[in-house]
Amino acid sequence: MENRPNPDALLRSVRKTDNKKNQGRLKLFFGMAAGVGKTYAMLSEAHSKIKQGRNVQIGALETHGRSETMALVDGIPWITKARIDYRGTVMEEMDTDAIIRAHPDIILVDELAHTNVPGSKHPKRWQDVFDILSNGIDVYSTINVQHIESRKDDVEAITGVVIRETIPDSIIERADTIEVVDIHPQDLLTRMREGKVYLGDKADKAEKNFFKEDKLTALREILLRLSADKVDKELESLIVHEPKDAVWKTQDKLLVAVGHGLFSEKLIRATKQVAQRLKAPWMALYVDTGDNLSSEEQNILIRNLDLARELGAQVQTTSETDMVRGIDRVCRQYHITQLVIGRPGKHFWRDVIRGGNILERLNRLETSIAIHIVRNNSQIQFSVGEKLLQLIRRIDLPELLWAILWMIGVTLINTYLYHYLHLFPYRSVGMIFLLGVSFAGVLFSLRATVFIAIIISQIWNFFFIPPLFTFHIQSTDDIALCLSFLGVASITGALTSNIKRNQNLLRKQEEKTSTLYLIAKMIVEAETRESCLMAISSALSENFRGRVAIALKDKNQILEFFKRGEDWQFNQPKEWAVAQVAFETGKAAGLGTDTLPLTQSLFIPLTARGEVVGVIGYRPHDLHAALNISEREMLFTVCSQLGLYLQRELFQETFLETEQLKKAERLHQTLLNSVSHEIKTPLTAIAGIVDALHDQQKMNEETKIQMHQNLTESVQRLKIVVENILDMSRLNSGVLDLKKDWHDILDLTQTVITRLRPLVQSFPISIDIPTDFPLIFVDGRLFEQVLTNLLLNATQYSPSGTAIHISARADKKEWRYQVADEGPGIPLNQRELIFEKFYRMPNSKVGGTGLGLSIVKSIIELHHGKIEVIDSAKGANFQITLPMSDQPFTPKDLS
Amino acid sequence: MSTKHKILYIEDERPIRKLLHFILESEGHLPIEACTGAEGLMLAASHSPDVVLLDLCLPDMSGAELLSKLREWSKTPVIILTANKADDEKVTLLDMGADDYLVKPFHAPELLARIRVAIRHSEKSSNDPMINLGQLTIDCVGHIVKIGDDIIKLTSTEFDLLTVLGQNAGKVVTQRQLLHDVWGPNNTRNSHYLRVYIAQLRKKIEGPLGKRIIYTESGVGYRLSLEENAGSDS
Repeated sequence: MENRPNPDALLRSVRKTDNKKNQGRLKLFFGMAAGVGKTYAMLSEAHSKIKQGRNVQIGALETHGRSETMALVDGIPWITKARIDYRGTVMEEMDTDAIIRAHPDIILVDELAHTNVPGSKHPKRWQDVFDILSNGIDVYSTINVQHIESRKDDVEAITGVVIRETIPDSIIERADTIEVVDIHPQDLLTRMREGKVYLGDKADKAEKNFFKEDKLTALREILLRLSADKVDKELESLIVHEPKDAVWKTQDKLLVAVGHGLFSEKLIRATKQVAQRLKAPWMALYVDTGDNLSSEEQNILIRNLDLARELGAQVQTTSETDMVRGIDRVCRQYHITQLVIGRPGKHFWRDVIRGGNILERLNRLETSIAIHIVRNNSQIQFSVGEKLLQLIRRIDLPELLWAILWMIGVTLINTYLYHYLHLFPYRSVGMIFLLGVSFAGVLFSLRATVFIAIIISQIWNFFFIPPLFTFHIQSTDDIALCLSFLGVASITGALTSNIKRNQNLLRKQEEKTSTLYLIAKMIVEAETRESCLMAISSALSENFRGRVAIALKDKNQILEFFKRGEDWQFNQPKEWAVAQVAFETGKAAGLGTDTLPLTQSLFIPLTARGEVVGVIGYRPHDLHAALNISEREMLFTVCSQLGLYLQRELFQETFLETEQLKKAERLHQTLLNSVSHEIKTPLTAIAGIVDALHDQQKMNEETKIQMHQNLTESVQRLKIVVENILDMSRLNSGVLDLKKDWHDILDLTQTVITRLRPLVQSFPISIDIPTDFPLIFVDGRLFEQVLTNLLLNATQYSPSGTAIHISARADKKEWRYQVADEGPGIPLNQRELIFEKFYRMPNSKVGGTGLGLSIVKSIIELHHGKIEVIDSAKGANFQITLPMSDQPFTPKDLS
Repeated sequence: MSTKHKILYIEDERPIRKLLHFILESEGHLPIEACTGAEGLMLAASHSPDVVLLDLCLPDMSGAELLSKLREWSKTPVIILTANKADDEKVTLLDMGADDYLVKPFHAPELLARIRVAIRHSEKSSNDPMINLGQLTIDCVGHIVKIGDDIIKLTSTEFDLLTVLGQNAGKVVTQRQLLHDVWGPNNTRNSHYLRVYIAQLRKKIEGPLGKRIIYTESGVGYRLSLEENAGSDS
């Protein structure tokens, strides 16, 4: 029993194979370096498949003029490459769509890590390969170990070559087969000497440096290990049946602090590896401390966060001037157990002010969080000159100009006051300068303020402190004053800029909160889904300086644009196609993403219960003032909120549907129970008489007459049941429209009584309707049904021989119609219930469907009237009250 | 009614066809059977029946289509058989020239009575100035209505109404036709005229007669009939 396979795990493994059924198979030819013969191996395999009768074609392949390879290419058809016009140059690129259209069994795609020409569908070739695979085409491809993202750093460390093209590790995981093309490093070196290895057109010394025996051996080791890992994982997934308690013991959750530096990329990769090893979920956090980021830094940050998202992290951004406090808050909020951060750089002053660097302060926090520190190996030690250069590069030129203008202005004022007006002593001039510096703190950044403070103190010194026009200061008082001036200026500047930053953050936070609040409010207040989406899209359009439109899928699972009166509605076919891509893949596409980034709009899928229910499209008014990082994250947050809302809506819809179904089912059941009896009784009578007809000799005249009467009655009863059921379904379906016309109530009553004669024969009926009773404006047929049901009800609940009284009275506003019997009457507590569907009075006589009175009620209510049971001397008295209509004109004629 | 009449029935349901065959034969008529509209039209042309019974739910054509084709060349009385009493199609067809209708399930005597009436109407000339209905006599020329020997005083509208009903005695007359014939083509929608005048007429005629002779056919029209319980719409 203990070793029984876990059903969930089994299901997962079955699903895994199931999911792959519709997908193509990916086979990777995996090598340690160029020249080991991957392409050759791939082509050889292709030929053996062709011999087996498979349709193999080439999507992308470079022979680099090698004769052995070229000989193998013969006999395999090519799929013509797409020509892409990029800034005037026509470039060739693999035509993914053509491949999908051609739909060969196997497609050969060389160089999986290849970067596509800008303007292609995807930036990277491996993304094309995924498209092809998802269309059920098998792919053979080649890859070198240095291009695997997680091994990139190691390879760079070993070889000293910067690697630009990488593919995510998940591709190795996705691959169905990996064929390691292995060759001994010495053999490879021999091949290279023979000129059989192609290194690219621009192979420089460094790249040739690659090919040293020690380096190749190291690369080979990485390759073999990676392959072994893959085999290991496959093995693990195959033996899921074995209990492995240890695996799920940890409840770890990791968090990596991400910044706008290039180093963060490494941090993210490292965290992903740890998380993978721990099989734990992980988050990437960016703390917005209010610093203004340059557009380059912003791009790096977006790339970092996208990378984290890509690698499976939950991405979170928060605003806090103090990074440590931000990290601490998020850690507590999400119950983080392990934190990954980079080793902090040296910021002497900031550390002194805040009491230690980030690490020291995090350590001091009272949490049980384990902290991993990743060392920044690539941190370059800058020379003084380089540092200066960096400093200069960071100067904000317009701000510098304004600062200089500010200083000149303040100096001019002081010169005028002091040198011309001789208003006050030079020390007072210092005070005015101080005022100027304090104001500068409000206007400029911290750096600029300090810069202004230093320069202004020197200006004061040079132009105002005696001896004039020298930097020399005579009195020690003045030296002290000058120094304290510098100090006060710096502190004021720092404080004001800090306040400014805080304000900035607060404003951002408030904007965020108010937007989210607005969306939440719209969702709560919206009456229909359409009006809600309409309001949200227009609110978003305003907030994000662009056009926002929402598309939802319709009943046929087709993305349908949500209509509104805007001129831009993804109307360009290209944009619509991108929206489709986002809808189908469930991943954001278009502007600023990995998929079709050259589109002018961004499309984010709206997911509900893991199912994509729609797409939100965003196109900035000005492409160059696109969303910054926090706005982008904000848009994603709104999308997930919208997704949640739609999920709830969907859920509610399904819930209502099920409820309705249940109700219908219940009704159905009651109907069957009640009606089957009502139908079977007359049917039994009919069947019996039909059988008796067989023996006609035995019948005397009297039995014949009785039989005939019996038959007539049964048929009449059946007719009534059928009519009732038909009426009920008609009334219930809601399609019934009243055909109102003028009617004579006396005529209606007499017609109904005439028709029901066989059934009401044994009840004397008295009719008390004034001859001058006004015409009534009702649906005649339905009203006859009302009278029929009331009469039948009276006959059913009172003993035969008793009288039935029908009367009608009218005044100007309304008219009343009464049907009273002399039966046992209806107890007060049941006078409401009897109008319910299928309600039947306790101890009532056999017969009746329990539908009659409810039909009466429905019809009367359709006529805006009411029916009730009123008190009477004996028996039940039903009274209908209906509004009186103005009488129509009828021409009179004389004799 | 001993004369053998040819009765064509167009009906797609086999059990109903058998029933009709049985009823008609037992009454001494000559039944002709058709399952589809097309077949019915063909047989109507080849056999020239005295009465056509037309089911409204034929698989190949609508009742209106069949009736209009038939009326292109034939004045044979047509009686409509319908399963749905709320159906407006029968009224349309009656206005188009069908003679009468029956709602399923119907009773054999009812059907036979309708056939009788239809045949009688097709045989006699409609311009007979004297209409005799049991005790009731209508003198169309002299504008005199008598019950027995007593002259009944009617207004001109009441008289017109009674005349139209009397000329079609036993047959249903649609509201539209009554309004058209009595009040003129502009008043075919003013059904309340009918309610008022029918009520007056009933008081004047049915009172002295002591029995009902004007029957209301819900949603269709009125029928003047001397037979007991002639209302077909039950």
